[in-house]
Amino acid sequence: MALGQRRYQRKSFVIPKLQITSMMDMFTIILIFLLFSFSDNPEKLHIEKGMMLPESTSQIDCNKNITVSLSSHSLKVGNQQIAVVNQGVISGFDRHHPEKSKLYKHLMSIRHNLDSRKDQENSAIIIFCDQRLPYKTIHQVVKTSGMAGFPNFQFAVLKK
Amino acid sequence: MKRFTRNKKVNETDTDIDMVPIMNMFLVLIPFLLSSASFFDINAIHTSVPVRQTQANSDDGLSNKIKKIIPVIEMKANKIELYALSDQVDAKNLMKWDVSLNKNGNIFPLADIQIYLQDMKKQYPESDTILIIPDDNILYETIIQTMDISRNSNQHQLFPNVVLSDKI
Repeated sequence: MALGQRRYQRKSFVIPKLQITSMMDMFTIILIFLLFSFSDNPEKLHIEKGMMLPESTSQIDCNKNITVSLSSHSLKVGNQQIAVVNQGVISGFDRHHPEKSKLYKHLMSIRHNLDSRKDQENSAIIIFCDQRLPYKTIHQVVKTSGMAGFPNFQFAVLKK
Repeated sequence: MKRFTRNKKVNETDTDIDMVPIMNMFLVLIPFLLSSASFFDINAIHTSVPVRQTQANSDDGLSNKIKKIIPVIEMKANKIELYALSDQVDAKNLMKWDVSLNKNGNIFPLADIQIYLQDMKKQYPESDTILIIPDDNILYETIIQTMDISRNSNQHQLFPNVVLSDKI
């Protein structure tokens, strides 16, 4: 009797269906989130660790041209470190003679390269700057950029 | 009754929707959207530093009958000084725009500045440039906030060309 029952149980065994409803729900949520954060021109911009960009109402997309990154501890052009920043003071930078600074020389070499290629479209500088820095630090970079032939620049901000 | 329930079980068809193709589609869509998703929406503010103006450029402005004025926001440690510059408006009219606003504690009176700029824009609608002169210790965040209120107010454009300058 017991054997017969066991045989009957084996015959009626149905392969269990995988319950994917909850997985579908999860995927739907992820899909909606990703659709909302979809960007038609995703830019890969490297932001310094610990850098806090200010928020702004600006709606203008940022163009990835020459990136100058000014954080509370370093000044970089592209990925190259130009100077060390310590308590808002850029090392090796004379406020009255910005043309002697490494930043000026570096930007001038970029300017010459752009001029030789007659490339005026990519001649704007985008400045990534920490929101906690005082104007005296930013002004040194801005002034030097202007002197090196980049009077127009963009400040990178986070969308409000 | 028993027979009825047995018949019902036999006739019962599987009504589950086959979600496997949808899942497959999701699996294709999600990596694609992940690769083009932007988690930080970085925008930009166009700014410039003052450049030496040629005589030809300034003459262009004078030949134009529409008067232009440049508001100046001088951000100091404990107050904001507002005034206007123009080579097309006489000194007496420019003097009307001299205003000094004190800080409310640690906060700059940005709303008052915006009202001031709105009034100026009403009187000189062709003006589009503003000069911001921050003090050495003004934080970058405050400068950006000032730029924001100078460029737009309630979807109306005020002075879109922001020029950052040192004390002249």
